[in-house]
Amino acid sequence: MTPNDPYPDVDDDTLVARYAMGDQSAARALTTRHASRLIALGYRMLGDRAEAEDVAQEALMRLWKTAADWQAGGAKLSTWLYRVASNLCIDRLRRARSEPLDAAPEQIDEAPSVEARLQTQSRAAALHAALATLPERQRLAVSLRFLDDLANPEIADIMELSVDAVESLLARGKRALAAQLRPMGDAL
Amino acid sequence: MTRTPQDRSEDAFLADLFAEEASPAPSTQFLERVTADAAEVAAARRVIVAAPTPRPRFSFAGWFQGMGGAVAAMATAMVIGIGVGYADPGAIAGGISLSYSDEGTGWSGVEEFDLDLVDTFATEG
Repeated sequence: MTPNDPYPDVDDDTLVARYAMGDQSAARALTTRHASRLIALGYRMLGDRAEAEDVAQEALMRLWKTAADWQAGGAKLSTWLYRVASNLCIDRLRRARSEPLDAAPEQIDEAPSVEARLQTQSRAAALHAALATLPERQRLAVSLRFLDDLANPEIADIMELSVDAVESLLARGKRALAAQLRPMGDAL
Repeated sequence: MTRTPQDRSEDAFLADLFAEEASPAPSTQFLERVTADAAEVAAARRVIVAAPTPRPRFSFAGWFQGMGGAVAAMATAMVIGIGVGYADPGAIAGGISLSYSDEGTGWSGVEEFDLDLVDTFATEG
């Protein structure tokens, strides 16, 4: 359970129903419970804290709008939120790719190699640099796997893929990450 | 998929790396923005729920339909009245009170009919 959760004994479905009935404290509780993980997912996918917060805010906004129609006992709220946030991240990555270079903000950081980053930055920076080299769906699968220790069926549910497809993405993603990061073993 | 020792080793290695990176706590500004969003959506929903239901609009079709029903009812009542007048002129003393309503137009009321005509038929009979 999340620290500072004002309603640790109240489940997500009940909080959503309370918010739909006008209880604003239920919205604060849901935010406290889920925002950190949504921001973490956004950060791992996008590599930018402000963008990660935008994604988490948008995912929660969609929850507020859906609350009155939320079906208790249906999809797990955390799974639904991860799915919304994942899709928002992928949309942003694709939009950024399709923007013409002239319209894109000037990149100061020219994506240095993992080794170069490692020399000046922390383990986290190296991890992010390595994650950024993965195709977006591998990156998402690996991030979800190590975020909250999610099981493969839940990742499959979030990504709307079969469990076999998730296993394949995870195997390739983890292998690629480990191949990049292991040689730095001592430094990491 | 069978997990090999290499898989387990990669898992442990990466889990260790990811674990060091704690989930970032949301900033105060973030929490304020999200709280404001939630309040705004809730307020918008209250406005929608509280909005009055639209009043029914006048429709000629409905009006004619209502009028048709009323005229038919009046005609039926007159025929019944005439029939009763023939059968027993004393049974109709003052007249006939006819109430009617039409759900389609919401038109309703009470009509009082003068039974001179019925009396005439009755006395002639």
